[in-house]
Amino acid sequence: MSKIEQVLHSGNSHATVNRDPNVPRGEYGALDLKLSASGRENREFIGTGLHPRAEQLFSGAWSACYISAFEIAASMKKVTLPSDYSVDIQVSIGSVGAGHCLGAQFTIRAPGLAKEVVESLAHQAHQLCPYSKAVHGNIEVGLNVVTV
Amino acid sequence: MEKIETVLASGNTHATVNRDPNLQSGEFGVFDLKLTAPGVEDVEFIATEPHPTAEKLFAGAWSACYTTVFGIAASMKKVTLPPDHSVDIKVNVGQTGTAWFLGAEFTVRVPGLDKDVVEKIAHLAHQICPYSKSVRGNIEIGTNIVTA
Repeated sequence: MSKIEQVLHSGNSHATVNRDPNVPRGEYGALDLKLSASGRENREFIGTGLHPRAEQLFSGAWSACYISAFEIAASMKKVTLPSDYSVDIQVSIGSVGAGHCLGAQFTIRAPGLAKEVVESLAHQAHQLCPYSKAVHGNIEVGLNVVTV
Repeated sequence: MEKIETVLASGNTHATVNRDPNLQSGEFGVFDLKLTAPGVEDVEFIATEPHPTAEKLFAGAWSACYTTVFGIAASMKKVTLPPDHSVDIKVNVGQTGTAWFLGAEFTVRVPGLDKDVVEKIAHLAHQICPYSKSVRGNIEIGTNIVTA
């Protein structure tokens, strides 16, 4: 497994379950990404471009899947999740020696639950989520649990 | 490494180097993703939910990075790429038994070059690209080379 020595860019995502489709989404709301990279003279990547976007896309994909897996893990363990729980993922790209590698930091907020319960759900969700499995053993994945 | 037995959803991206920022981007052009999931009654994931979107995001992140690296790999091998080369990535989520896994299919198009030269560049790019390294050994990756 490669560990990032120096972070170059990061992309953040924040995933919650929204039961009211009319609720305003605010800062983390509907992602509306224009992914062309303007202002670069001779190298513009369509739909792609700059690395912070790539990391944001990946963290968006991962959090979409992971939060579903987190719910499944909770129901398997017969844990009732608070309605305002959330998963934030920061995917970073960094350098290690002359190469580049990715790393991820999860922040799971589940107000009112015991920390070790949330940790055990988070661990199980990583066993279920195909994105977590795809990077298992290859990148460093950190976890913060917030229960307030 | 786990292989997908049944594909459940796929996300495609197409990446090229665009040297004219005013160029119309067409079907594969500027990504403009509204990622809320309408029509899901009681569980809507902000910026997330339906799997095809997650796979498309991941394919977008990966192709953004891989296309850049492909150019680097070509220059390391002192190969001049034609301006119309492109990389398409299809990321699948699928089922094996009761578990879910990812898989990816690359289509690298480099008109005018020898197939084995393109294969070598594609292989080298997978050694360099942090997204490829993140999933190495964990998911199945196919590569089609098109030189016409």
